[in-house]
Amino acid sequence: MPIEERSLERAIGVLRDHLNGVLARTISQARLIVFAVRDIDPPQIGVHLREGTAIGAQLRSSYGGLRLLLTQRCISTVAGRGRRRTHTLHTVHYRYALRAEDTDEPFIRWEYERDRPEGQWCRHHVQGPQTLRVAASDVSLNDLHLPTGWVTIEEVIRFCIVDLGVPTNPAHDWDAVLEDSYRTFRTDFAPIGEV
Amino acid sequence: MPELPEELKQALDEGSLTREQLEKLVGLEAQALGLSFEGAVEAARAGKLPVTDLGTLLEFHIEMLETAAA
Repeated sequence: MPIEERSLERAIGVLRDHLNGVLARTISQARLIVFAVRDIDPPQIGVHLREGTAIGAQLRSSYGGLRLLLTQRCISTVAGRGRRRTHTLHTVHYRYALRAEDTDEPFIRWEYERDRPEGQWCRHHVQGPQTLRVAASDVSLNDLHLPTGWVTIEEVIRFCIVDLGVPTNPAHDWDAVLEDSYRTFRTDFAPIGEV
Repeated sequence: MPELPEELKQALDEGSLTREQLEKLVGLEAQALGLSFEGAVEAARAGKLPVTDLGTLLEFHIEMLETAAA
C-alpha cells in the first residue's frame, strides 16, 4: 500500500524519516528536504537531497569524488471524511543522478514521469552522455530513452556501494538496511507507481 | 543553492510552503543563474536551463508550479 496517513504532515514525515534513515545508515548524512505546497491543486510534494547549502550528497568512490542528486515529486490525494480521512502520496516524478565532483553534467540519470510525455518515450528510462553504437551510427544516450523498470533509491544506493565502491556507514549492515527498506517499500508503503 | 531568506529556510525545514513562497524560491534560484523568473520558466519549458545541480533543481521547482497551473 502507498504511504497513507491521517494528515499530509504525517505522510510527509513518514517518507522523509524513512529515506533519511536509509541514507544515514548506508552512504550519506545528507538529508532530504521534503515540503508540501498545499494551496495548489492537487497539493504538490517536493523532495530533494541537500547537504548544508549544497545540492545533493557528496560521495567518495573508487573512481573519485561523486555527487548523488535526487528529486522526487509526489501528489497527495485525500479519501474519506472526518476521522476516517486519509492522505495518500503518489510519486509522479523521480530523478536520481550521479555526477563527478569536477563536472556539471551527470554521467547517469534514472528518470520517471507518470504522465506520458509528449514525445511518447518510455516513462521509466536511463540517460547519460555516453555514446552508444547503433548500427553504423554513434548515438548519445542523452538522445535516447533507454527503458528501465521502476528504480528505487535503495537500488541506486546499492549501485553506489557495490559498483562504484562508495564506503558505507560501519555502524550498520548496509545490505540488511537496503533489504528492509525495499521490503517496506514493496509491502507497507506502495505498489509500483506509488509512494 | 542561493542564500535564502530566513522565512523560506524555515518553511523548507518545516516542510510546508505556500505557492507564493515556491514562486519566491524559483525567483531566487533563477536569479542565481542570472535569469528572471519569466526567463527561467521559458527556458524550463524549452528544456534550455543549464545542466547543473541548481539548473536541475530550478527546473524541478518550476515543474511543480507548472503542473499546478495546468
